[in-house]
Amino acid sequence: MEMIFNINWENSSKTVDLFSLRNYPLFYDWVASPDGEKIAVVVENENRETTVWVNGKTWENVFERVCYLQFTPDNRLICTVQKDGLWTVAIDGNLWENSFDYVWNLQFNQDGKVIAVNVKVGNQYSVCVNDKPWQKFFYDARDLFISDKGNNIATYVRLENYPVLDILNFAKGMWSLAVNESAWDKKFISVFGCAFSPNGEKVAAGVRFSNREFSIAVDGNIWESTFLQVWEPVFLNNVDVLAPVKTEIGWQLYCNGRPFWEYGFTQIWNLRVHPAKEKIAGVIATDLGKWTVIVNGTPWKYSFSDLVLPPIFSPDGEKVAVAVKDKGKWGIVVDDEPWSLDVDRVWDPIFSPDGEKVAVRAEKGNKYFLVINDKIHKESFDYLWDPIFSPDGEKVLLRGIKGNTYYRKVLKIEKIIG
Amino acid sequence: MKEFKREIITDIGIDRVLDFLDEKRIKRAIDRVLSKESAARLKAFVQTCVHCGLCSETCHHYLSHDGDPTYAPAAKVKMTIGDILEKDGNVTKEDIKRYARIAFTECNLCRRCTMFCPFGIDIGYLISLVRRICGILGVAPQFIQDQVYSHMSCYNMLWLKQDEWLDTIQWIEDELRYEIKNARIPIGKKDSDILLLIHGLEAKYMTPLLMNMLKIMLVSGVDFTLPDIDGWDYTNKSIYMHDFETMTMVTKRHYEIATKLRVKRIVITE
Repeated sequence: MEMIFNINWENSSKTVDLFSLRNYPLFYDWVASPDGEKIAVVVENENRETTVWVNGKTWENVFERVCYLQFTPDNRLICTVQKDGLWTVAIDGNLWENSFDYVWNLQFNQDGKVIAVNVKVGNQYSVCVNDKPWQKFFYDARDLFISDKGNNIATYVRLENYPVLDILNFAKGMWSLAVNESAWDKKFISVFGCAFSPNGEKVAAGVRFSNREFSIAVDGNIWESTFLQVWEPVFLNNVDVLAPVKTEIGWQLYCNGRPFWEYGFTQIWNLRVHPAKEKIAGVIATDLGKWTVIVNGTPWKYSFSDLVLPPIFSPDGEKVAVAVKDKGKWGIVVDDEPWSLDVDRVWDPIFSPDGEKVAVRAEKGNKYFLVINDKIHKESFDYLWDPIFSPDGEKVLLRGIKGNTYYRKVLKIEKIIG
Repeated sequence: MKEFKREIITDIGIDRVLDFLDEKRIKRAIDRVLSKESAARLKAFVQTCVHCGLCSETCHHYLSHDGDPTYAPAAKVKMTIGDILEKDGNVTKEDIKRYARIAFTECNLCRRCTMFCPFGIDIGYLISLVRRICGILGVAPQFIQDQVYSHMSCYNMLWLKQDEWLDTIQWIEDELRYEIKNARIPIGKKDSDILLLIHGLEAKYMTPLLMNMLKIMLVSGVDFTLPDIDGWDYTNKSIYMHDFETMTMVTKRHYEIATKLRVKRIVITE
């Protein structure tokens, strides 16, 4: 997801003293704001009164519980809170007017303006968006999906309330996808892999039928073909839908129900698309235990034994980077060239706006490091958040904790990579 | 061979589901498994068995039925996959019912017989093909099917809803605070060392067990987390129907959570 940050790139450093947190018997769930200016954590006192601590100050409200603490891209601090037994959402300490028996799956869209949660009232389930609950409730609601623009919201819903062991009715299907309160008019054994189009106008998902075959549904309309199995679909553009499907020749890439790549693989999943260039990257297995990346139909020459995580496109769509695990060791690969990095754990690679630099945080010997273009920055931290590139790609924002201090630093990249 | 005689037992997962099937659909399922999914070892195994009977004494079903030869592993293969091959897949609903009974209730796929077979015939594999055929047809004991349907849509075996999972862990945390000062059970904590997955029963009916395990995790001081989304249940009941599609979905989910939270390892209870 492309984040929109308003970051001060001139003020090179800032610290927040964390020592005062020792006054609390319990504190957990650290989060740093995207601009690096704030660090927050959930704190509890001896009476189990719970609240949020931000840069040394706490919110006025106290709660029974605080969950899902996170910053939105516009640097607002959000979480779910339980107060007087009921649950709601808090934004910078201000509570929504609506409260529920339970809320979970707190999420926001690309710019953070649309905030939504799954909600439970009595034994009924639904969604609340920006403090406006859907009017329609369901027997169950699982997972929440917000389109990038925030114009549409979806959740998997259960439309029948058959009792446990009622397998003959289960076989008829009882799950669907609700988009903005309205469930598709078809029921399935299961619905999974929900994905919105880039403009948020269309939505696709994998579905399983009563006869145990699979297909892809787009806005509730099912592809003509059924398959032995399918994985999560993605939109190639605002109309066309891609999905890995299992056919008699193995796993294949299909588009709108027809073969897109004619050949099959031992496995293909984790598709990613660069919508502007309609480029496709995915993870394939060419044989058992041989995982690699495929870009527009061309597999990389290197393969990896354990894991290849979802590929990441550079902003211009010309490069692809990925985190891998090979024979128990984590690594980063950019355009089929593995880094020489020797660390215990790495996180997802992040491209600079021009695509020339790749930054990643890494852990070695229980210390966290910033790595750019395979060069490890000398300074270590007890914890680091993901680095953020400046718009000109010349600087990187580093947010980390060392000892009892939170650090916000703006570093010149040339000093790291030389 | 002694006559195949069994006490009549009804199970809607087998008897009622068969009402909805026809022999054409049965043939299609058999062809899919035997010609597209089975390895060459199927033919080799079936042709290699010399009916020496060494497998019989290794089977607890055979022993616990006073040496009834119809419970011998070689006989069970002959009465199921052997029968299917002999009839070239043109079998009746009554045949499927018999196969299901044998494959689901008279063989645990423990493979002890394979250890004693002079040719190393994997009898468990052969019986598992029968479970796979029955599974594709939706013919399996009701309790197994119920849990598999739950896995298909909820990724846990007992239809636990997402809020019920989270609320259960929060309740356990409250209870633990009577014993452990400031006990805190992390849920969905990124970058932990360990992702702890639990048995579905422990979250729904056996919470004291789960509480004890969480107590151990807390006191040991390890950096762990439970998932905050579907995929917290490591059980995969679809294996009993050889429902590979659900099996892969559930297992894939576990690895997706582990990599999303970027833990170093997955630990399971029990």
